[in-house]
Amino acid sequence: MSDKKLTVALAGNPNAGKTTLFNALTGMRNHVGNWPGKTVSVERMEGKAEYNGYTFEIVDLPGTYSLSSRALDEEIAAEYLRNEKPDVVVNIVDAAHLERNLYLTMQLIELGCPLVLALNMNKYAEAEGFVIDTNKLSKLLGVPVVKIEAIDKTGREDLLKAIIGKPAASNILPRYSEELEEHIAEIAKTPSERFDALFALLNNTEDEPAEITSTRKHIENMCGADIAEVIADARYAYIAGVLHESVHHMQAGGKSQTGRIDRILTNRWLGFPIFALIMYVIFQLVFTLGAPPMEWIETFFGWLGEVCGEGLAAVSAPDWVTSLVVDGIIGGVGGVIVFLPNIIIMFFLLSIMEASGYLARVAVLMDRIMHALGLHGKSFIPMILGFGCSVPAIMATRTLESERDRKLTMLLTPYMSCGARMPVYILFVGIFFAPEWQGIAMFALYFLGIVVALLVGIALRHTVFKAGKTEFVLELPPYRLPTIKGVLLHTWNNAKEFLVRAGTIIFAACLVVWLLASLPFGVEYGSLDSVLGMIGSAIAPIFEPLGFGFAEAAVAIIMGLLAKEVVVGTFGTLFGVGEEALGDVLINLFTPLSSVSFMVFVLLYVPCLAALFTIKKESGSWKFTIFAAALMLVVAWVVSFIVYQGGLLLGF
Amino acid sequence: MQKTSMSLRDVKPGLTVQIAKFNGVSEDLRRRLLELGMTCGSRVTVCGEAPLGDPIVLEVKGCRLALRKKEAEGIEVKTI
Repeated sequence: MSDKKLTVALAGNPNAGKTTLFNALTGMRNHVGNWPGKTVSVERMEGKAEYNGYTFEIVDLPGTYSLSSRALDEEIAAEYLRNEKPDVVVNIVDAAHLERNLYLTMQLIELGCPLVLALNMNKYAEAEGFVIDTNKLSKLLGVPVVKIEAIDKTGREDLLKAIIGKPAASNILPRYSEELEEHIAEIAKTPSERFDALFALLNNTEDEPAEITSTRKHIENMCGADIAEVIADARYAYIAGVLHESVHHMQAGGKSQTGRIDRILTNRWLGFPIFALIMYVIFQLVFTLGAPPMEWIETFFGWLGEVCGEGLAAVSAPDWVTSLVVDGIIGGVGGVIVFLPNIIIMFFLLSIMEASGYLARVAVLMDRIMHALGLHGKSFIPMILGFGCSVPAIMATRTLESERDRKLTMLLTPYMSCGARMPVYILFVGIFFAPEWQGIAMFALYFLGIVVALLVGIALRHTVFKAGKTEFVLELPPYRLPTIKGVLLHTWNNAKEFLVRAGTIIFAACLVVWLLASLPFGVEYGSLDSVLGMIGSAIAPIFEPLGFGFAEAAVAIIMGLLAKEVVVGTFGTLFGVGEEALGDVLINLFTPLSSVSFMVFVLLYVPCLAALFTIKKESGSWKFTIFAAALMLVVAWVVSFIVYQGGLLLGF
Repeated sequence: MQKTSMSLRDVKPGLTVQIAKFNGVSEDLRRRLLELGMTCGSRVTVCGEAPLGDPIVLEVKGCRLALRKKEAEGIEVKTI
């Protein structure tokens, strides 16, 4: 029974097609798990596949170039392979870049993994003139080698057959120089300790045995180079030997297309116009194409609420039950699902950009500018998406490799004024500004968001994020045509995750707000008599120095956590007037200056609970999420304070 | 032909050079570059630079890499 169940790990370089193969093998039957002992930030994708009566539990390891450093993703992969000992490790390699890809393979062999080498992208390798003798390669490495195409079914059978053949670990260990081998043998008493011996030599620790330290020194002196260079040299020299016997390079003339495309897309004059055009199209598609389905969803939930409300009234259910169902449950679920069109379109386009190789070029184009902010070129995309909606924007940070970049980008993205803040501006600007100043006022708010993001970015870089490295080396993968299946699966996986994870928690938070707005029993939903109203009255003095220290503003700000546009509706509920008549009420409560201060606060404080829980989901840390929320509240308060008090001083 | 040494930063686009030495590169980055195949003596082609002048794009063992000029400055190369 148990021998028909195999654990299969997928290992390989980034861009070798690992995720494509994972999706192709598991289809939709996959889920996100956690690496033991690690608090997240690197996702563990697991899935199931079946073949010929066998069940495979497939684990997608992080894409790495090596296993020998202390980088988090490499550590996770190495620890998994060593401790959980998967039955088979499939090492997927890019046949067009075999030399570089085999560097990881050497280490997998030295680790003693039961390996299957899957050569991917053979068409591209052939187009570039490489002829690979798989039999020879298999003999030289001591592992089964199969040719596959991860994007279609080519070689799938062969790969699955090789997996159920349960290969043993290779008995052909790489041979480096005599000198090096001698010293490895001194440390590694058995061949299975070889990888650990090399790892120990590469990574010096304070409490390492004296033997390791002296051997390292000795090797460095003998070779006249440092240990990392000696070992990398040795591995590449061995690989060169293997390739010399198993691969023939026909003609060098058939240069790949990538260089040609790069000459256009990263061209000094054309690079930015093309990028701007692509960003414009993405923005339009995400938020314009996403708008009608969003409206349908809103209409549907509005209709559902009405029907349920009427139904409950017909059976004379108590008011609080009606309110729970209509405002709490239906409103809460609707408030989450409404983001779905944006998220689906965003991930669809993002995965096309990623799979085609263009995303890496965006990083090259924008790096100079984003580097000034202490960020990575790729951070630009989440930031610009933030103008539409913070939720997909924060989710887009997962395209960034380093945790530091992801976190810093997550903290800055919410200052980009999202679409939901617009109705608040429209209401207040419409009341307090002369028509000819309205456009400028709106623009100024958006611009202020960017300036604040800049200043907060600089402040964070000199304090909390001081330690992080900012240097980078980025692989620019060859341009490839994305497959529809791959893009759709990627989109589906991300959308599903949003629905399941964020959905449950955002929904729960919405219920809590509903409860606060409804208690004690019998009060009007969200009125000043509710618990929420009382909280509003209690915290109102905090906003006194900002010019809007009254309970209604405080309640609207709290309700705005559900979604910023709720601020407008809340004023309507609180004053018992429709949105058209709000102007007459608000003009008595706000001065033009305090209205600006209020809009600035709405611009800068926590975008909404959905965004906050997305930060939690992406960072995996409550501590970080609370820090993010606190930071946004403090920044909002301080900037509004400066605006209001500064305005008073200037005599407005 | 005379072999001359210079920093990778100053190599003209289109030229292929040989890695000679890492001077001012951090330990982590040097290791990453070694793993990516930029071992001493290996060949590197400078493909070009980003529209804003930084980073530069390299080709190493058939793979394209982007590297900031500040880091490229710390890599000594030889002409071939």
